[in-house]
Amino acid sequence: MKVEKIDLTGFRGLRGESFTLDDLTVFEGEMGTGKTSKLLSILFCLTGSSPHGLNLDELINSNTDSMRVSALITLNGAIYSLERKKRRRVPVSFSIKPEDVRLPPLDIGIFIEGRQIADLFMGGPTERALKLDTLLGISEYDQRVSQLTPAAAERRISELEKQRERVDGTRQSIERLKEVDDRLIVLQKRSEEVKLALSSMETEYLHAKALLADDEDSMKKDAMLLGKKQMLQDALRKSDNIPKFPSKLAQELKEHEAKWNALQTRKTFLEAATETLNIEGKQVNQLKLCPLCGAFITDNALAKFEHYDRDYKDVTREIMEFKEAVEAKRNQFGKAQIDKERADLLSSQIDTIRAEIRSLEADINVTGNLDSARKTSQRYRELMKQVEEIDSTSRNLEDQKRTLESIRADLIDSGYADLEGKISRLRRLASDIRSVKLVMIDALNEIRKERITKLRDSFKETFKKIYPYERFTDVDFETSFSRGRESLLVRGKLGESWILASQMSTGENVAMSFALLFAINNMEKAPIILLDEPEEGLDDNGIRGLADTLNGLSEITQVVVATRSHLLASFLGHINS
Amino acid sequence: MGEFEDRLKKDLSEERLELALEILNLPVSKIRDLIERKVLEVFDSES
Repeated sequence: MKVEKIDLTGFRGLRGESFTLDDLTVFEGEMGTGKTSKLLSILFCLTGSSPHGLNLDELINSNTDSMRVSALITLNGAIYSLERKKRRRVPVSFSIKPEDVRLPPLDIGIFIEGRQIADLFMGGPTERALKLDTLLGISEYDQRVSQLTPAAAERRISELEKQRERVDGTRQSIERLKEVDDRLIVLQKRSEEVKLALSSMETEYLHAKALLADDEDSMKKDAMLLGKKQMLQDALRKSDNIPKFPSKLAQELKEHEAKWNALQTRKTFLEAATETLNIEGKQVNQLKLCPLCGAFITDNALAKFEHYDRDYKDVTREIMEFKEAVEAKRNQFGKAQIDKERADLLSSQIDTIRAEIRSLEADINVTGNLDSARKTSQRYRELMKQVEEIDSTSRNLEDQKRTLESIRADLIDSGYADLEGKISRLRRLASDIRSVKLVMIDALNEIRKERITKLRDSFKETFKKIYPYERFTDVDFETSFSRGRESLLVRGKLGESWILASQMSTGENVAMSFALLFAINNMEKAPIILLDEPEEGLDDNGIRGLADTLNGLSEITQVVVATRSHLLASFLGHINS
Repeated sequence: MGEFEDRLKKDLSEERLELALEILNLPVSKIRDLIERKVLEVFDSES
């Protein structure tokens, strides 16, 4: 097939244009001269499409509401007329005359931009690696495979497993709930005991507290007590030094006094008797009267009264003798009496001191319980602390209990079996995803392998067709996987050895690139290719090589080039501006 | 891509093939959403 002529109206910046095409046609001109529009008009007419997803309405000249492109083509010796029209917001219309013709497959791939060629190669000229999957047309599947990951399922499985672990923990927690309950009961009992102890200690504690507050006064009482004890010791010592009242002295004095009185009485009686006997100076014997009653008595009877005088003398003597004894006894008694009074006085003082000591000791006993008070106070505080600790622990345990009860309720609600079921189903889903991914990867690898084989064959064949020199006896490429992607390195056989594209001239690189591009796009079957500024990025040598390549290409397919490079245009020699 | 699907049919069970075809018929950007949705269907399911 060959496109002979194009007529267009209202296409982009071209109001109306008509141009003819050869096997190799070059549109040379500066920017904005309509070179690319001519290429795009051919593309639109043949395929009804625009590059880069450009809206077809955008191709319509801004001053008109429609565009039309018609082509005159020759195919198998016959001439056909194609026409494609487009109004804004109206579908494209297409007609071909005569109608009984089947055109070769034409698609967007026939339009190639220079930068597109440059984009195919990664890195510098020394290592022109291509994105293999993109070139092979399987990148989309590759992307799908890369999106296919069980991570989401695994993440959820992990969550559920953690939940299950918590549930497992919960089961243990429920067992712990009983322990907590038991501990709470023990604590409650202990709390009651301690509170009871506190209650019973309260009075003692308040007293102790008061005592501790009155500590200074207590010290004074201590000093007083010490003084009183000293006084008591002195008094006791004095008391011990006072002789004890002889126990028989009173009786002895009484006996002495009785005897003394009896002697005095007898003496009195005898004095009276003797006075009587000496009444009026006469002796009784002279009167012969009874000395007792005055009656006349006989001499014999009177003789019996003669002992009175003797007795009187005896009594008087005895009185004289006994007087010392009774006075001594009386003195002894008087002294003893004084000692007794002193002893009684001291005893009274001792009793008083003792009473004071007892009183002080009573106080001091209390005061002396300062240590005890401190201990009481400390004990009380300890018990208070215990109560607080018990209460705090109890509160914690109550919290734990509530949490555990809540967990138990959750466990009942969550349904352990359901959790297992979800994990199982998610594992199955993750497994499905992994399996699908693996099978897709295998399928892609197979397809990639097959396409690489086809690409290699096509590349070799195309290169031979478009490379006009005999420097390389063969070309090939190798694929490698690096930096996470497949890449492709082109090489050429020079004599017996292979060299990489980096060791080739620019022109040879261009030929390699085009051969590869054609091989990849299966361009050898395309009846026409439209190249927009293919010289982009090339130096003069490269442009020369490109020109050689395009000349070679034009032998196998119709080539239309739009370029700003006069050099390229002059090398190609077929200028249709 | 018929050849790709043909290869999947050979190696995948019916259930997994269904998942694979579902993935192949979605835009690439929607695949993760599909997986997430399937995961959530299980994860959020009621007992």
